[in-house]
Amino acid sequence: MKQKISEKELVEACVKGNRERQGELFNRFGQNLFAICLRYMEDYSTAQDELQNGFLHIFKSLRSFKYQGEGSLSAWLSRVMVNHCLQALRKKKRHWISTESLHLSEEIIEEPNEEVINRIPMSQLLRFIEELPEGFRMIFNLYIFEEKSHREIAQLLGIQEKSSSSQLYRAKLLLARKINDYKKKGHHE
Amino acid sequence: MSKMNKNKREDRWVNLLKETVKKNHPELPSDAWENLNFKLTQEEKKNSFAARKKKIILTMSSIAAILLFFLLFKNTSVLKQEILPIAKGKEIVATIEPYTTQLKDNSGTHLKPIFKRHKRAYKSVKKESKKNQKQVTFSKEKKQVTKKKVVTKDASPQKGNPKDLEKKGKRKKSKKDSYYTPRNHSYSKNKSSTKKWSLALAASPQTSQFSKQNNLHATSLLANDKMTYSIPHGDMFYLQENVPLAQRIEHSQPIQLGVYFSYTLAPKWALETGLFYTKLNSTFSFMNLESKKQTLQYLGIPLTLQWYIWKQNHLSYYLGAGGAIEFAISSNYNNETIKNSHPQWSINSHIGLEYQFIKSLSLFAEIGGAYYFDNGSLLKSIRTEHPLGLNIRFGLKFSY
Repeated sequence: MKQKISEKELVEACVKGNRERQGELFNRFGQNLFAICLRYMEDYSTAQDELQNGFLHIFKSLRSFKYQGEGSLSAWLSRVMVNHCLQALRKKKRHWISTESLHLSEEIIEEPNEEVINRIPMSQLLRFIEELPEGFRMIFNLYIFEEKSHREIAQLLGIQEKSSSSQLYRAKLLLARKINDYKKKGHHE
Repeated sequence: MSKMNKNKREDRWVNLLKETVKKNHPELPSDAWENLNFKLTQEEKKNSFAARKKKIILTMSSIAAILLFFLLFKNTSVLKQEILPIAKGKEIVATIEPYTTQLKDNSGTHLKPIFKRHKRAYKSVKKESKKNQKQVTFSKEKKQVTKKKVVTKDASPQKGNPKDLEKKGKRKKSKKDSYYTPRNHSYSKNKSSTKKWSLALAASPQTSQFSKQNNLHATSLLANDKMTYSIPHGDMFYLQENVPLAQRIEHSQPIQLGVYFSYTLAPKWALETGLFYTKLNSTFSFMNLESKKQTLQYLGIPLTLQWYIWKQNHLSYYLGAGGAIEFAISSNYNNETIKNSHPQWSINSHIGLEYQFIKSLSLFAEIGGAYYFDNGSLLKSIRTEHPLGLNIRFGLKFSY
């Protein structure tokens, strides 16, 4: 059995083009990065494509990675993959702000129960996020998962801070409605 | 169940959703690595072909540029060829300044005498050199020594009876006597004042005739015209008869070698300094009879700003501009040390090719132009003859 090498050594081997080590890096961090792709992209197959493209980009730019201790590689890879997904979405030139949100603000939606969330399969939760309109999904991901501020999101996406906060709110409303609907439809006891 | 609150930064259910999603990573598609591996192989092939193509083009263009450079600028020859016709029997008064640069007549015309070492004369002068006098005067008819002055009367041609030749007013040319060596000259042993060498000047008749033959521009030098001229240390020289008085100076193209340190300011910008060595070789030929080599060696400190135009893998192309100061570490003329204390300032711009063979160390070659400011030195070099010129540099560069 092959000995597990350190992140630093792994990066050095990947930079040199060692295919075996590149495979190892893919296996170590692939799932985490695939989760990012699934959250940002609209469907599974697009997420799969972007995972591949993102990894190609990662292997090209791995030379610029500076090792700063255990965990720094994972954080760097996540950042690169998030940026890659945002770029992929930008290329599609879709409207980020959906008109679907217009009716939501007037609705009164209750917060989903924690127990309900715990019992929903993870794949279904991811699907709910995937199904969010593109703009909502991006802001939800950036704010909740990447823990960016509205100012950072506004700068990143070229929108106003107010727009970011209102879209986040609508994204949460929409997500809560999806979870509540899921429960009502009897998928969950 | 509580109602959704817009102003709440973190909803508990959202946090729970986040934790759940973060904890449970989705399974990777079974063929994900296979597909990626295939794409990586394709990319590799594509890149290696493109990179190879680029490398070949860059290498070929660099080699072509270097070859062109060497072919065109390997040796810069400066031919200083002027005739110094001197009327027979006239006295010439010349001022001798060791290693000065010009020979002037009183109308301001620059003249170059031909230098030729005369063994016998040189020996006698060497003996006298100990007597701390800088100039030697010799003449057929009288001797006269003045400080920093040479007074020469008509010096008879050599070979044969000088008196006969004088009578005829001209002499036959022969291969042997293409250079005039005064036969009956004498040195003022008591008064001549050279240190290690002395200088002797002999005027030759019939040079005007020669000037016609050779269809060269002649500048008449009248009696009692005063001249200042350059005389390399230790040279005996004679104005020659029946040949143009000429000096040929050939400067070899300088090549610099150095160790450079580069500091990255921005992804495409770097500041570079270091230490480089320059050797300037020049050859002073006197009518193909005698040639003397001058070697000037410098150590320089550059400061250059570089902009990387193109970078891929280990290879990069860049443009640079900056300045340098150089200090002479050794200066020789004809194997003798000469003084060269003036620092040399210059500005330059170049295009360079850099190959990074390990992380912070690269090998580079640059071709570019430089302007060398007049540093007040009387030494002649390619930089005084061509202050604005092309140069080439090779070196090692440490990046950090």
